[in-house]
Amino acid sequence: MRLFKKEHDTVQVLCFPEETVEKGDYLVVEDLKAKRSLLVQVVDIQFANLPGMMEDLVREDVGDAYLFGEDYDPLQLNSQITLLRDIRILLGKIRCSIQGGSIDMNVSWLPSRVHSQIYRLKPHQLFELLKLGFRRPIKIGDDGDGFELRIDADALDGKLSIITGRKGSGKSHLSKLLVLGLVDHGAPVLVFDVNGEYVNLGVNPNGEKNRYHDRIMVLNPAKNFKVTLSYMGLATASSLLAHVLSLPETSLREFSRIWKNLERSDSLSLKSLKNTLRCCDLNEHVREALLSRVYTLERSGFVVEEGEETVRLEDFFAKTSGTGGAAVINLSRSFPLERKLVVEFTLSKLVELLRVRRVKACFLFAEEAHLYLRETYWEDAVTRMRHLGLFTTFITNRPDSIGEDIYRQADSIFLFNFKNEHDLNAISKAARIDGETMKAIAQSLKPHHCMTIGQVTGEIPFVIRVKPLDVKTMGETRTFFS
Amino acid sequence: MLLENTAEATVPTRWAEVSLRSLKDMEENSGESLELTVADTGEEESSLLKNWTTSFHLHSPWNDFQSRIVKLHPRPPRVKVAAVDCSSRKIGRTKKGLVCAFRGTVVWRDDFAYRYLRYGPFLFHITERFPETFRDFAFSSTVSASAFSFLNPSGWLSRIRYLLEIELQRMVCESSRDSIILWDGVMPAAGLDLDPVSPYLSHILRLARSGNNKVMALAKETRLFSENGGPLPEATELPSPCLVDVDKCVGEVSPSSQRLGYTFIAKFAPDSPGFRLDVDRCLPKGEMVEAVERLLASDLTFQGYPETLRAAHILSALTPVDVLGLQRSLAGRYGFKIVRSPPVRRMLFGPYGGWDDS
Ligand SMILES: Nc1ncnc2c1ncn2[C@@H]1O[C@H](COP(=O)(O)OP(=O)(O)OP(=O)(O)O)[C@@H](O)[C@H]1O
Ligand SMILES: [Mg+2]
Repeated sequence: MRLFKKEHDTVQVLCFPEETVEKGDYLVVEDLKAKRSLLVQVVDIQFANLPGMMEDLVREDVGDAYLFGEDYDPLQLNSQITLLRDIRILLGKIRCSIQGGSIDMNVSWLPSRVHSQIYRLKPHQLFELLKLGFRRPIKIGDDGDGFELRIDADALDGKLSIITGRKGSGKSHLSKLLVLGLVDHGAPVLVFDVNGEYVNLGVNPNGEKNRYHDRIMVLNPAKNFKVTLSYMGLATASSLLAHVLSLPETSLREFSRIWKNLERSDSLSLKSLKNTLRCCDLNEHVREALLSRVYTLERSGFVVEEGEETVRLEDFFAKTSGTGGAAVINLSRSFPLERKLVVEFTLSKLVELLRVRRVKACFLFAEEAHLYLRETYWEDAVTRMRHLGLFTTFITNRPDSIGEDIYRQADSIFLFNFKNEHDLNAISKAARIDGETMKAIAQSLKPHHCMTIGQVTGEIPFVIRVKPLDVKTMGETRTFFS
Repeated sequence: MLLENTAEATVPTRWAEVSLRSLKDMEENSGESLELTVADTGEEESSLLKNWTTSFHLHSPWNDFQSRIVKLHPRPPRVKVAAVDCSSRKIGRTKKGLVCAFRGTVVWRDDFAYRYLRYGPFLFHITERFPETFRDFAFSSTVSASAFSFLNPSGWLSRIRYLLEIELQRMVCESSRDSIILWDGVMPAAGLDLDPVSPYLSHILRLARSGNNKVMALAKETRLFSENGGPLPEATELPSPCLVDVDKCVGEVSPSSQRLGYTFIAKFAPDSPGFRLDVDRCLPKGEMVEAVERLLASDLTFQGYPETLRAAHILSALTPVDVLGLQRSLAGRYGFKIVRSPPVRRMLFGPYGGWDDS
């Protein structure tokens, strides 16, 4: 490979046919004299427009039409020349400098053309250089040569992350790797599982319990995940009524008053709530509105009468404190409204626990959050909730379901393949990488390969082959014939 | 086949032999580090798309110009047309000398298509020892290479190319019958720097005539200069197709008796700028014109330039891609390290003034 051209933050490198380089790969342009290097990521591969290539094409054009002949090439040199037609130009973005074994963001210098040597840097070497995965490693992939690639759990800690890519590209798979990685480091994780595909994280592919088994708690709403009014508390209940069941403001005030009265007389229960609503002196519209909503809560099976056995979120946190663990909230069997109820309850409760410091911090993995997360929570998730200690990872195959602001504030993006320009445009608003590079690479990502953007890999975008999971996955899209 | 005997095969074998012998120098050196200094490919002018020009001075008064014009009429039947061209390129410099590449092509037109035989590329390492290497090796029975030994390596470049060209010309002239044979350039005059060659060229022309072939040489692009004033006719003013007999106006340096060709300006198409055309001088004048008229009936012309010769030119040319490929194969075979000589253009326009803008 030879350095050919540099313009701003891009370089062009001449690459001969026998050298294999792919989009997303890293090249080191090492100036042997200056003893420093530029780190360059290949973002596009083109045919070289060699001087005289035009002539060769002209010649072929002449030849093709009506010329027939033979070449006497006793020294067999023509084959070398033909080979050259396949010379390629690698377009690379300069990412950083390397000097004395450490990274330097100053890229304003120009490597010598004469004294430079260019070679491919394998991802694991670069990970080492960036000191990635040294503190709290999570194995997420390998670099194709059998070297493991690890990121740091710290890169998700206190952060907002997004995993996106088209259907079946491996998003949930990666998300599971991250969940288990965090659990390994003792962190509590909450998963909103819309497809019911995280429920077997505690089981090996052959069905045996694995080492995570005791630390994975699967919460099936209305089955083993039910709540009573008194556990819910007024604040959460109001928020359910207001935000999920769209109860008007005036009715909400009445509700609050009745709730407080019941609490005072120590008789808060579904039954007493319904009775009070039926008998007390209320505007008929308000009574109707309140009663219908309470019935809805009851019918969902999620809100149950006092005394029934329920799971308490703080129990989960207490149990997993120190060991780490994941609560998988299986939303796959719930109707949309119930899904919203469960999510609203969970987040509201979580915020409460975080605020009173019953829980130090928690990681949240939200699959296809647009299906159940209300508008205002998105912003909350990146601001208020993050502040309180809830660190969210959004997973979606519809990048436009996530707002521009969220992208802008995301600390890391794990980007899988996208074919569609429209989808990529949505993501390119993430200011952490130039859209051009992102599009070029994202469109050529192979299945199970993702590009990391942002802090997770030290602001150096990487293409990673995500490693297989040794737990039972049920993430496959359901089909009829197989 | 154009060539009935086996000459077509002996040429490349013999050239390959000298080539390998000259390259042997490099292997003997393998102890020390080998460097091949090359000019940046982008700097070199390409010869294929760019026509090169033959300047051509006319001495005699111009006033009888009109009377020199011979109008032409394509004259069937069609005959075979063959053309020869060669090219050379510098590939790089070693500590001891110069590495050059050569390629030559014979193209002919038969009833159905254009056909070609292409020879090379041949690589030569031209060092001080090269004349020896070359001397041992009789290229042709009548040309003694030793006569060139005083030349510097750059001189050798054009000399070797010319030798290859003569070889191919001989091959074609010897093996063709009733054909028109086109050479590239001009027919030299005896007594000039090509002294050792011109007797041999006479011999080749004799060979050609014995097979009833008509040989003519066509310069690629011709610029006319009038040495003693008087307006020159614009090529556009000439009728087409036509010949202008300018033989008497050409150089007093060499008397006509010593020249191998009889010189015309040929304009074969309305859009043609006109080319210098030298026809075998030993043919009767009438046959010369007739031969040209046959050519017009037998070959296509592209902007007034015979397609056969154009194809030979294009096929022979060593393009910058060829040069790059040859440099790389040298590096691969002999372990050369390729060093780029500091290109003036880059020094002026910055280190990254890439090829695109050169
Ligand atoms: N790195 C990997 N190694 C092995 N198998 C993988 C890998 N990544 C994904 N898979 C498999 O590919 C299939 C699809 O992966 P996954 O469910 O993670 O895709 P997805 O992007 O979440 O799709 P969807 O948009 O439908 O949710 C699954 O069967 C999964 O087990
Ligand atoms: Mg999925």
